[in-house]
Amino acid sequence: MNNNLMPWECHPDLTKERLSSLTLFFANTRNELMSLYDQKRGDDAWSLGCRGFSWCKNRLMMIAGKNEWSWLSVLNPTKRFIFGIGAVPVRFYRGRIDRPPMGTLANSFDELRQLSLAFPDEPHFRDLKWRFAIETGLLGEPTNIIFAGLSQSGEVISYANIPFEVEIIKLPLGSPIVSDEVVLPKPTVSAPFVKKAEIKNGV
Amino acid sequence: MAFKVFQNEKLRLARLINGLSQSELAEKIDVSRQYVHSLEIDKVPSDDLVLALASLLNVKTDFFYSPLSNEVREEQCHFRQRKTTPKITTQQVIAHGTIFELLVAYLDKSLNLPSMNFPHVDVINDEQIEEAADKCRLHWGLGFGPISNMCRVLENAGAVITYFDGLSDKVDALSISRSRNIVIRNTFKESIARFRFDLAHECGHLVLHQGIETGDDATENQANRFASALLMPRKTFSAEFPRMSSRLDWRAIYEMKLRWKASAAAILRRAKDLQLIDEVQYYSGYRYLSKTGQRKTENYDDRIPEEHPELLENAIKAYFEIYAQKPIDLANEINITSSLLSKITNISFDQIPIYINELSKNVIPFPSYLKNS
Repeated sequence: MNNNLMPWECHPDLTKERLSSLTLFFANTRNELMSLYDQKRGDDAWSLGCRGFSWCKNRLMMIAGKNEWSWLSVLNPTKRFIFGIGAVPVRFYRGRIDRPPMGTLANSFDELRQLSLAFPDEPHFRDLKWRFAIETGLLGEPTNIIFAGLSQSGEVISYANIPFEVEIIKLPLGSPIVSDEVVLPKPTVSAPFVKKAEIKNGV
Repeated sequence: MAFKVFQNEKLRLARLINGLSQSELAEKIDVSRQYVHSLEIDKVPSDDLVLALASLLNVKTDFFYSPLSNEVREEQCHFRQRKTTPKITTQQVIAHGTIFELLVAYLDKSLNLPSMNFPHVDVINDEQIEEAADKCRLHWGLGFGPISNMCRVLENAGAVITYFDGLSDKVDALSISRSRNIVIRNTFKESIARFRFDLAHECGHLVLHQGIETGDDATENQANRFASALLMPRKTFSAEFPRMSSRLDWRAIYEMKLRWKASAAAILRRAKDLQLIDEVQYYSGYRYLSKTGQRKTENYDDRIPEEHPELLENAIKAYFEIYAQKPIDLANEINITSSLLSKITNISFDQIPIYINELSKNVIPFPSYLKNS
């Protein structure tokens, strides 16, 4: 990945600001998801993965629907979700950028058509697949969000690793049980015996 | 006529408590640093200079002529400091402890404070530390549920807790094991959960390390283990901690935090020590807390009830009431100014009503003490 081309050098729609907004979106969504992981209620890795995909997909659709980011569009709303940053088609997955899952590199008609429109005069960029890789730690927390252009074989041709700080998630916690707490009295301070006697006698 | 001898080490003490270096003091009195150094070793200053020093350092001139009978040395303190703590900060905190002890000794002589009641236990391994913490819980009647107020645990056992202010976050806390134990804690830290842990840690030193020099990794780790075990007793905590197969259940961890009034980091550490989570889970959880900005303060800290030391303020109020005294009178007893008294106690005396012992003037019966006598 030496001599890396930054994404915004490949297409003017892939601005750093837009990629930063999406990086933060994926990081916060993933962080919230992980914070709400609840084994007592039946969560496991599978439910976490399914929710992770659906939360990102559906929230991006909501953002696009409300036109919050004018440059964001949805090209394929199904499980083969594709969204657009300006004219450039993009997908996302959870995993490492250097080990993209096979499915994410599979060709789809919607993506190929959009790529040909986005890069009419740059055939070398037209073959790249633009992906957000959400890299996670052992607990499922987001560690890196990398945006990259991958070749058909999965080689990283262009990438940006934009730092992020996740928002604090406040979980709806109940009141703690305190029935077994022992409440000690205030520490006592009193007059010494001699002084008490003096006070009593009005000395 | 009594012959007064200038006590050079008292100058050093007064300088340090005022947060001044030798150079800074020298600049203020327009002498060289070397001259200040010699004054702190063996040189006797002129009467005029003593007056100037007293005024500058918030003490009475008599302060410099009363021998330092209670000097606290670094090796006598259970001192939670960082490896990066500057020497001057260490010296300032110890000076604070020394002058504070003068006040505590005077109050102790004038009033009935709670009797000292810290069990002493020798330990070698973690199992013995767990047993020592359980023994303390039984000894102090705490049961095996959460401790509602850690300040009261120490204060009812006779320790006086105070804060030091305006230094840096390089020192966490300090305890001095004397005839009356003293715990001094940095005001710099914001988290109440960490405040409670610090108190439990110092409690560990006072129980486990009587007469033992501390500050090394082994004794600090023992005090940490004791603090964990005291705040979160093994039997109850283990029974309540939910099984977590691989991922951490943060909701459960934060609920444990609110119940036990300990930080999420301390909950994770306790769970690891009791083998309720593995090393990988602990490491990942700790890293997550760090990465999400929860190293110094954590989520839900605001839901843990505040607690403050009560013994010192109550003792000072009682002293004013019983002896019909004012802050200046109390400060005079230990030869410092009332502003320095306010600084070392971290109490603003403007907020404490000054009582006059009316009974001693045969006007109105004195209420509270007669009821109990």
